[in-house]
Amino acid sequence: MSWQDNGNGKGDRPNPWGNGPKGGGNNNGGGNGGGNRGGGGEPPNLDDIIRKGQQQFKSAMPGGMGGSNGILLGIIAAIVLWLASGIYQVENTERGVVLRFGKVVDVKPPGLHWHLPFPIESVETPAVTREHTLQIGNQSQVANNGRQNNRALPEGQMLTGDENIVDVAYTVVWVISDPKAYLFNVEDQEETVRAVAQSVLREVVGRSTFQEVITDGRQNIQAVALNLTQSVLNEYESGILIRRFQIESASPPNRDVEEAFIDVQKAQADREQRIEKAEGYRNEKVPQAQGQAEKITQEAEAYSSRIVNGAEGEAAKFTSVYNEYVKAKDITKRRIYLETMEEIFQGMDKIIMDDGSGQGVVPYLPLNELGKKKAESEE
Amino acid sequence: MKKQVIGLVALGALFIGVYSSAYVVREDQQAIVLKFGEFVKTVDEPGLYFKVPVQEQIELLDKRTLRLDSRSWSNVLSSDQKRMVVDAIARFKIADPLKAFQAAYAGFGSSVEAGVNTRLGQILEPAVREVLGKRTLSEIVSGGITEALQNGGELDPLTADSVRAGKRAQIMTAIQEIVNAKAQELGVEIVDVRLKRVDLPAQNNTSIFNRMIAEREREAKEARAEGDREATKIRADADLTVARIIAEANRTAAVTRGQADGQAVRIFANAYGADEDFFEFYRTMEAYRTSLKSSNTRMIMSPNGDFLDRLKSIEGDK
Repeated sequence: MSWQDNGNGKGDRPNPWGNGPKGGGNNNGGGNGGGNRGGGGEPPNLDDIIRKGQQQFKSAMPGGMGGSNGILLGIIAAIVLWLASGIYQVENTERGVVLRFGKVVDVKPPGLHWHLPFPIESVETPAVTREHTLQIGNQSQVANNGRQNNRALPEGQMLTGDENIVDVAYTVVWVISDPKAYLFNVEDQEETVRAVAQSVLREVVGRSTFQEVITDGRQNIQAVALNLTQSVLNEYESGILIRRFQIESASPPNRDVEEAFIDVQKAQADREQRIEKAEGYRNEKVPQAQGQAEKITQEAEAYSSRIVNGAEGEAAKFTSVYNEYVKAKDITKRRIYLETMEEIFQGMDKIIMDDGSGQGVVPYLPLNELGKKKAESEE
Repeated sequence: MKKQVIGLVALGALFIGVYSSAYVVREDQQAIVLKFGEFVKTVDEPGLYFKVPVQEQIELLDKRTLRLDSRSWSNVLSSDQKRMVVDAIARFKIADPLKAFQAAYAGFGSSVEAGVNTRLGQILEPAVREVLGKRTLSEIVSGGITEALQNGGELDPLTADSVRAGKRAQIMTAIQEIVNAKAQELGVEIVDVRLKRVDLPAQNNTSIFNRMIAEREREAKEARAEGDREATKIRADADLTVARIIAEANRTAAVTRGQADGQAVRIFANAYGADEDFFEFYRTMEAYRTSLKSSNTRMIMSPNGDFLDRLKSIEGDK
């Protein structure tokens, strides 16, 4: 809308186009340089306006003073910018190592700091709290380069003291303990940690038996490896602290060997099972025997009791008979004799022979026949 | 106007002069100053320094502990003629920058450190071969514990100190000493030499694996056999225990019975001892009664006995 007004802009109203030069003129203090009062019937001549403005500008400048003013401003701005370039922030995880012409002059804690700007000072901000993790000898690597590399074992495989091969995957976690030393004492810090850790672990494993590595010696191996790795890194003055040296896994080097190991475990289970079975047998048989023994001794006790009591009974019977006998010896003896005879002869076949006639006859008597006849007649 | 131009030119010249005469030695650097190639001095403190432009030339060298690239050599022989694949690493410092520069500088833009690295590699290999060639495989790999194990010896407990004092540590020190002696010509100080890998060649792996399998098989067999042995032992022990228990019971029973019999004898003797004649009579009667009672006993008797004598006369035989 206004553009249309502008296009036809010969009206009284000031338009944006007219305002610019007018304002410019005012700023220059050059009065009505634009000459555009808006009310004039003529259109403004741009060339004129520019020319006039230039003239006025030049005349307004007394002897070039304004030029050096601008340069000064520029220089001041540049200096301010230059100084401001020295502002830096040290993150919470970092330390700021300040170098003046390459020499360490200060180590700054986290926060906002300022250093003398380039080229005088510069700052390095290593992350000191961050844990760096190195994984060595994990299985994927073994799979990747284990087979094609036929000149040596994969990274994680190493010889043990008893000349076995064990596959160890381990992790080394380290932090920067001394930022200055870390930055300037050792070339290629991470590679150094890796190489030293590998070397140390191989040395320690070489000093252990296979069994120790895969089972109960692991804690100790880790501790010793950490100790040794740290002392080598200290020797380098590396400013590195090993936080953890962890053996993630230690296993037989391939499937066949692993199966053999599994079979050993099975065999151990078998051994236990066989022993347990035998113990079951013992636990069954011994109580049975104890029961039987109990029975045998009880029977003996019973026998003992029977015999002793029988004897006592007999003896008591005899004693009481004897006591009676003592009172009337002959009579009692006779009575006993007769009673006994009576009793035994009652049910007995008897052949009574006088001595005289009997003599010589007995051998010829059909003793058995006599008995039989009697039996038949009775029937 | 002229003054301004002169000032500007002077400023520029000053700047160029300062720029070309100032040099910075960083914390991890050291420098040698040469005057038209002639050695002037060594600078090993970091900071800002000045030199005479054009006349003096600065060579900056690394001051850090440097890494000698890991090397690997196959076919290294031990004293017991076993082939090994050996990896060694070494760390070194440029201790004498002038010597290092003299030995390894190969023209403008070349790296003295790289030159030193190459030369050290050439020194390291024969040193490793020489030292390892005097040691057995067992000493190199395990610090001698393999032989100790095979001879059934006791192992020292594994500690950091025992490893530090171990044969492998000695070997590494020996290599370091040899390399260090030769490296002095390079102006280099060897911080340490470490054996990283000492492996048998891949061809040996199969036999090691087979041996490991065989050992495990033996272990498994042993375990099973031990199970059988233990089981048999337990069974035999159980059988023995059973036999012993029964035997003891029998003995106890026999003793008990014997004591009972003895007691019975004593009881009888006590009772019967009162009158032996009467006992004999009485017991005889008793015996008759029990032994002659049955009806199928037949007796041919004479009327002259005590019992039947009155069959003959009223007064009997008496």
